[in-house]
Order: sequence, then C-alpha cells, then structure tokens
Amino acid sequence: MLKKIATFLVLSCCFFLGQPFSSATADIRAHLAPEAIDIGAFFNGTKVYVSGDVSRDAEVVVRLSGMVHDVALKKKGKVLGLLWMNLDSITIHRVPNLYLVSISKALGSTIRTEPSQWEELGFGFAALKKEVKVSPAEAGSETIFREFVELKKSEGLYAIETDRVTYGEAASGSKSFEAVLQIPPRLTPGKYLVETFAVKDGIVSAKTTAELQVEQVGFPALIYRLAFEHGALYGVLATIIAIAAGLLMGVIFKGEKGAH
Amino acid sequence: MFWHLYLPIAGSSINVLLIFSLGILVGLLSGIFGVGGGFLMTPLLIMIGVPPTVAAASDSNQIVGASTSGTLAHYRLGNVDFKMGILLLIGGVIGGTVGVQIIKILRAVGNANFLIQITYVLMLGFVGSYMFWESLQALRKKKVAPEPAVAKESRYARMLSKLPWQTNFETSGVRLSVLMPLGLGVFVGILAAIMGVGGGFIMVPVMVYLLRMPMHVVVGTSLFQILFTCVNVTILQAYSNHTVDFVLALLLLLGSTLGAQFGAKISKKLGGDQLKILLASIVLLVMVKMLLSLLLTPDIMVAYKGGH
Repeated sequence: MLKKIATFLVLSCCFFLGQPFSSATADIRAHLAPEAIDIGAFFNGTKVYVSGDVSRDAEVVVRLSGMVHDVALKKKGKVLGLLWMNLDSITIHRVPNLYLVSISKALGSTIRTEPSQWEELGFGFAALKKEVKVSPAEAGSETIFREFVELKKSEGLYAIETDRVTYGEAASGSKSFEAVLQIPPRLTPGKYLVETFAVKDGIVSAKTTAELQVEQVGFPALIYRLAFEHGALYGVLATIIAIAAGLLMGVIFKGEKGAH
Repeated sequence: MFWHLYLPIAGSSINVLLIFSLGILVGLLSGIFGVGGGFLMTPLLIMIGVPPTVAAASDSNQIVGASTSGTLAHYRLGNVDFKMGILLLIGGVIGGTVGVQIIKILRAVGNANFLIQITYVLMLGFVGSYMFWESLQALRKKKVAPEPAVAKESRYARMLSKLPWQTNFETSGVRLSVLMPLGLGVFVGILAAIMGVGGGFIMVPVMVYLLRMPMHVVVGTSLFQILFTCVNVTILQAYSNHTVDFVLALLLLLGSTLGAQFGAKISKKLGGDQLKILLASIVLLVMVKMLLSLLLTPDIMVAYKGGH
C-alpha cells in the first residue's frame, strides 16, 4: 500500500514539476519549441519544432489542431442546368480551424500503398470526418466534407506533410527524432494542441500532448482590440485617417502644380 | 526580400508591395472614370487570402481616401457639381435604406442570389454595350452625319422639361427638375444595396445618359458622391461587423490616393467619348468575368458564407 502511494506521489511530482509535454508515457518523450507564437506586425508564418526520443522501432506522427468551431458554408450548385451559384447553406459542426500533420518520408510511402491502415490510426481527414457533424444531415455530407477539406487545403490550413519527421541514430532501444510543423501566415490567435504519437505495428503505442499559445502582440494587438472593443471609434478614426491621407495627397500635388 | 505585414483583422499576412501596387491601379481607375474600383479590388483581395467580408469592408475604407484625393483633384479642374452630387446623395441614402428592406424580402422568398446575380450581369451587359456603341458612333460622327436617335431623345427631353421644380445646374450646364437627380439617386441606391456594390458602374451611365451631364463633370461628381457612401459603409461595417482591417486599408490607400491624382490628370487629357468607350470596355470585361464564374465548373464545390 505504502509503495503504491509513494509511486503515485512520485508520478504526481513528475507531472506537476515537469512540463506536461516532456513527461509522458515512457515510450515517447517530446519537447516543443517554441511553446508560444507571438504575432507581431511582421509575422509571416513560422516553424514549430517537436524533438525528443522514441523507441527505435516506432514511427512518430505530430499533429497540430486548432480550436474547434462551426463553419457556415454555401454549397455550389447548378441553376437551370447552366449557371453555377452558391445555393444551400450548410453548417459543418466541430471542425478545427487548423489541422496540420507531419510524418516521416517512410511513413508517407506506407500510407500511399495502404491508405486504409493510415485512416485506422485516426490521423487522416477521413478520421477527422468522424468527429464532425454536417447539418442539414441529408445534404450529402461525405462530398461536402471532402470539398470543405479541399477549401481548407487551398488556404494552407489543413495539410498532411510527409518528410517532416526525421530520426537520429538509434541507441539503447530508443532513437531521437525531430518534427517540423510549418505554421501558415493565416493564423488566428488562441490555444492550439500539439500531439505527438508513437506508432508501432499499426497502432498508437504512446502519445504526449502540449499546448501552443498563439497571440497577437504589439501593433496588430492594438488594432484588434480597438476594432472589437471600440468599433464605432475605430470606424470613425479609420475614415478620418483615410480622408486626411486623400487631402494630404491633394495638397502635395497642388504644390507640384504651382511650380509650373 | 519581400516585405510582409500581418493584418490583424483579416488574420493573415500580406505582401506590402503587392498591396501598394493594387492601390495605385485602383486609384488610377477611380480618378479616370469616377468609379470606386471595388469590383476589381474585392475579388483580388479575396484571391490573396483576405476573407470576403474583410476585403469588402476594408476596400470601402480605402475608397474613402482615394475618392477624397480624386474629388479634390477634380474640384480643382472644375469637374465637381456639388448641387447635383448632394441631390443624388440624398436620393442614394433613401434608396439604400429601401434596398436593404427589399433584400430581406427577397431572401425570405428564396433564390434571391440567383435573381441578383442574373440582373447584375444583364445590366452590366446592357449598359456596357450601349455605352460602347454610343461612344463609338460619336467618335465616328465626322463620317456618319445623321443621328437616328434624335427624335426619341427629344421626346425624353420634352418629358424632362414638364417636371416641376426646374433648376439650373451651372457646373454641369444643364437645366433639370430637382426630382430627376433625387429619383435617380433612389433608384441607384436601391440597386447598389441589393447588389452589394458601390454603384459607380450604374451611377456614371445614369448621369451621362439620363441627367445629360458632360462626362468630365460626371467623373468628379461621382467621386464626390462615392466618398460619402463609403464613409457611411466603413463606419457601419466597423461598428456592427468588425470587418474593417485598418492596416490593409492604410496600405491600399497609400497607393490609391496617389493613383487618383494621376487618374484625374489622365481623365482631363482624354475626350469624353474616349473616356466612355474605355469605361464601357471595363464594364463589359467585368460582365464577362462574372458570366464566366457563373458558367465554369468551380474547383471547390463549397464556399465560405458571407461573401457577395
């Protein structure tokens, strides 16, 4: 009994002292760098690295997913059998705003030959589909979801990237790994979840998770706050500055004309 | 290296030089033709990755700057008819309010988007072709002496002269009933509200053909009016939808205020009929582009809700 309590205490200490990310199942250890992204005025996308150790016969899959929200869409359809228009409204419930998966080159070629095995692991878009609800339900939800993924892919917000996980030399049963996540410029502030999985013999054998905090800082943060907290003032200021810029340009050009 | 800036409201980063050049291009167009340029700017911004609602709202913020610059430049050239502009504006505000209610009714009935887009394409096609044909005739006038439309036009002129409250519009050099600009302002306001565009494309032909204003005065007066419309839209959008990205608008208006000044100078150099034929070509191009987007199979079968 005493032994059990001691073990529990030691484990709890590990949990609370260490970053929740670096202390996880024995099969995988991972460290996230950076742990937060600041969006300043010159932000243009960035890279996030996940590095650590994993047992030597496992593959690493890193998944970054964003806040879950509902997306309102318009379905395109033909009117009079000729004209393409936005027709019915559809809502896709509980989809992440960002969904990036990084895997190694080797795993990439495996999933090309055996896609079903990949989907069973639950990292692909088809797996994502299971979490998601499309309403109204009768609207051919399989097709809708596929097209929605295409839309997100075209914006760089959904991606499964191969050759983004590399391994170091194996030593004493484990090997080091490094994974790269390419964060697109189109990034919304908020909390993101980074999950690192060890995959062995077609199943997930270990997993660690970490939070990635994204926030706007500096000038963008100032503008954002002004726009959302003092909308009317912001609108008035925006028009005044625009008018001032127009007048200023007019004055500059008048001066030039006077010189003739 | 390319220089990027992050747009806080659009939630994406953007190439500064690209946006600046886009601004110059649209400013030129508005200075030359007296149109806001939203027809060109909004889709281009969406293509770069700005959300549709943010693109439209920030564009109207930018047009405020461009039309201030353009109005000032045209005012110095004696091309702004303030009396006419204010009357059209009053009509436009009334029309805009009515138009918003009409959309609500149309939406409730269903299939409103279909009607709106088809009407828009047809109207652009009609106005563009008529303008093109008419100014082509005028340019060839030396060769083709007789004017077949004279009889019909004079009937329209007789009808105009029977309306009450006739006033002189000195800058435009026309004598008209106050009801004409007011009524046409309402008409354009309704259309603009329904179609979700600024209305420059409809307003310019209306001033040329129905109010008989000289083309150069039309350009200046149209800009004067667009200025007020876009101030209104910008403040409303910022207040109720939070869709105005000021960083984006600022970059755009740096270019467009500059472009508008050059545009006004180019406009002065061109003859009225040359201006009309060029504008008609642009209107027709926009029409063809819209028609193609309706006819071609889209790459992706869904779109985010909220765009035009």
